Amino acid sequence: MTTVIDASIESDGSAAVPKGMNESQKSVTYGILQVAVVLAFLGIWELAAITKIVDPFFISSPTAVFAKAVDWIRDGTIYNHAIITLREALIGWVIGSVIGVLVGFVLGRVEPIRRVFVPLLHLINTLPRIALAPLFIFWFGIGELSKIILVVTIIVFIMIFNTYSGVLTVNNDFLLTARLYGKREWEIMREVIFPWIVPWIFVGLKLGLAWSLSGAVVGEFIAARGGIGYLIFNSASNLDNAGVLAGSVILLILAMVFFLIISMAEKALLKWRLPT
Amino acid sequence: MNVQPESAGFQAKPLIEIQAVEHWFRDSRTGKLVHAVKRADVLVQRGEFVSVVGPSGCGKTTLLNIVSGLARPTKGAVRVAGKEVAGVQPSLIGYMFARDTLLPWRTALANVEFAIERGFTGDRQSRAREMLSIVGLNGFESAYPDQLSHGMRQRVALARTLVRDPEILLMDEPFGALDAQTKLLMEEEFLRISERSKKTVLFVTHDLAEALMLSDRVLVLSARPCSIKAEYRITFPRPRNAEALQANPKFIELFQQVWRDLRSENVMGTG
Repeated sequence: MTTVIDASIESDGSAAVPKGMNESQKSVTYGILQVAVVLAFLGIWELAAITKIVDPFFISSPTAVFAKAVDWIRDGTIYNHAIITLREALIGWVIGSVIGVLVGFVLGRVEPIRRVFVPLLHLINTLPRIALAPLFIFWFGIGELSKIILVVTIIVFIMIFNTYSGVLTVNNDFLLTARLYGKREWEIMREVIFPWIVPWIFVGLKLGLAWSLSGAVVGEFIAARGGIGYLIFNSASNLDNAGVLAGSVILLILAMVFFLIISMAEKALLKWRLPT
Repeated sequence: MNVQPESAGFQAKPLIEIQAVEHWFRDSRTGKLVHAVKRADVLVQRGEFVSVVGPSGCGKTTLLNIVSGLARPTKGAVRVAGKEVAGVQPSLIGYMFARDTLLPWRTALANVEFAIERGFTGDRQSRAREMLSIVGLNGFESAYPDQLSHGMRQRVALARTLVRDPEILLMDEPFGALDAQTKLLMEEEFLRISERSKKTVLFVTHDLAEALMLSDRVLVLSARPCSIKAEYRITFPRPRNAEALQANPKFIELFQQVWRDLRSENVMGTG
């Protein structure tokens, strides 16, 4: 038998980046490449619009979208609408997440409840909640409440499934260890199960964030007095594609800001996962 | 010489009494009933160091689970300090698992404290610090398990097992997954600690040399469902030195003798 020592196994497979770069140099390089990709995309789009290769009536152009966003910021319209959408999305997200984590915990810990309800919950979850949006508006009015409830019904399922899957994977040795040292059931929950599922909860929170904004915006499409969805819908009615895209870009920026905040919270809470 | 197959009888009032224990459990994955222990009778005297050797998966861990109070025997009786075992007794029994069971989100210090958060009076943190320094981990109090080597993690687990100063130690292959050098170091350290504090130890291993080196008595189990096949008295004087003992011709002779016995009974498996 021969032993082959293959030094290339040691490399991390980053063929595109020259060897010998350290981690911070790499992240700078990749960051620059990322910005370049975005700029190239915007450049091609702008060029296509200017040269009228594609009719700008249909695709608008980056500069038109930017101008529209600046208009909205300048005359103040965007603030009212953004606050409405944010309020709907965030309140729904928080309520849905809290309920989802609690329900997920119970489902994960109590087998009879899990066996009865999980299949039913999966069934209900296959129903696109967006389809129920008109009903929610009928029930809860065209104000913010109907959108909040729509968002809650979406988020709650995401959090339930994430939480209970997390609870089911808890390392049994940790549970035994806790029992061995005389921990009570609620202490086991707080000190073993909860820390264990924090990563699962964060996956749900991040996923839920995008969904909560979508839920609020779709609710506003159907009937609302304000909000970014309302703004986008009105722009579309006026065949103002720049307006539609400007509204979307603003949504994107809001989502990114929240995503960053959640990621920072995650890093702070999960520092045990990052060997220093 | 040092070896004499033991039959019955010992002095009075053993600290751990396992009598006519039989155990079945349901495998959570396959749902099948497993016959883990056919019959076990073990008496451990106060201050005695007893090792249990046998092939992997032969039910050794089940025995420790029963003594610890984590599991109840299907049949038979288990008494510790004269009382029927009816649940865990953290202040009387320390139990170290084979697997790594440090909580990854707790620092080394907080992991040791985990053992004394219930029913312990006194300054928990300084007690945990003291324990970490006894196992040689000064300066690693705030390290997370992921930042420690395997050997260091087992030291933290050992500190957690010892921190409450339990009279009885149940050790389930505590050094089984370590490399040879680290293992020897840990064995020496454990020998030193257990001899000095005169603990009563029930030590499960599949490493015969380890068992002979540490113990006053070695019980040999058969494959599953396990029963006790043989028993050996080890009379090397204490305090012992693991490294010196391994080089001692008498120890080597003993090891070979026991090994031949076991192999002829075909109970050692390949573990």
